[in-house]
Amino acid sequence: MDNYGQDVSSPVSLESSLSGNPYFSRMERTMITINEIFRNQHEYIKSRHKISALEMDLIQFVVRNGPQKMKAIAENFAIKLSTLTSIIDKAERHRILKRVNSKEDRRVVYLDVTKKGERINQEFNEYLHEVAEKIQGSLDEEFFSRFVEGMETFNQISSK
Amino acid sequence: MSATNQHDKLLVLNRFEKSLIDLNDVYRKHQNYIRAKYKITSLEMEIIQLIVLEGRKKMKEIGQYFNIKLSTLTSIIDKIERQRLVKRVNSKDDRRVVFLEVTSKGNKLYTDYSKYIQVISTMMKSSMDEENFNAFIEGLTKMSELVSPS
Repeated sequence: MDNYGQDVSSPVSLESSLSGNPYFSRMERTMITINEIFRNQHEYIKSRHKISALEMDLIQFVVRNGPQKMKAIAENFAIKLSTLTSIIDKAERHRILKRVNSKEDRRVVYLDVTKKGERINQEFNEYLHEVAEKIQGSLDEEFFSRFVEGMETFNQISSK
Repeated sequence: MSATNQHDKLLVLNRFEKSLIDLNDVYRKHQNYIRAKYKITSLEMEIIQLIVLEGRKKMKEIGQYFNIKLSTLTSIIDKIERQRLVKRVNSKDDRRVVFLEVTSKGNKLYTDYSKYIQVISTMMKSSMDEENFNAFIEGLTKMSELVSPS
């Protein structure tokens, strides 16, 4: 939701959701499950690529959207510019991201991926693809399709 | 298997991969939200949540549940104990056994956070049928098992 940090209780009456929403207690558990999935993924990224999950997210963001201004990245990841600067310094030392000056306006700095960053991105995408195939392979076809629909709805709701 | 069927399977797989990427964004925002609003990490919130939902726990049980080393867990618990969100209590039956409980401050914090989950649940209920919801919940559980390192 884009009302992260704001009062999220406004759109729906809490009383009505408290009484008779059988989805609630199962959602509570599921939040833990989601966190667990990503905690494991972060461990994998750390041990496989020796970079943090945030660094991986930054690489993926730049690869997907092309070179980005620092300000745009700070906004997207909800990080202060000062914090981002030291994160990028570190990522540059790891040689996964690089600062480049805009050709039109030399004062403007963009963030781009290095060859190494591209390679890591590629490898990670392959890993995600394998994981996705494994999950698809282990579930019944109709169930899997419902699962994907459910995830799409959840993502939509949660990023509104 | 027919070519169309194969093609459909691939389409769903692509949508799934896209969903995983989006879910990662949702997860990161969720972490930021908890950190900004409650000054704790999402793992700390989950520990509090687990105790609220299931009652007091031994340190070892929490470590096993979240798959974290006891030494790491100790410093996490020290931190949220200093924030007065949880407290260590000795078992009455065996003084050597230490349980972790949530304080009333911790309870209040979780109640506030759970309003957010209530809002999400209400929106989920109004936008998907029960079969999809079940598949969503069970699919994630299955996925968690499959990607778990152990």
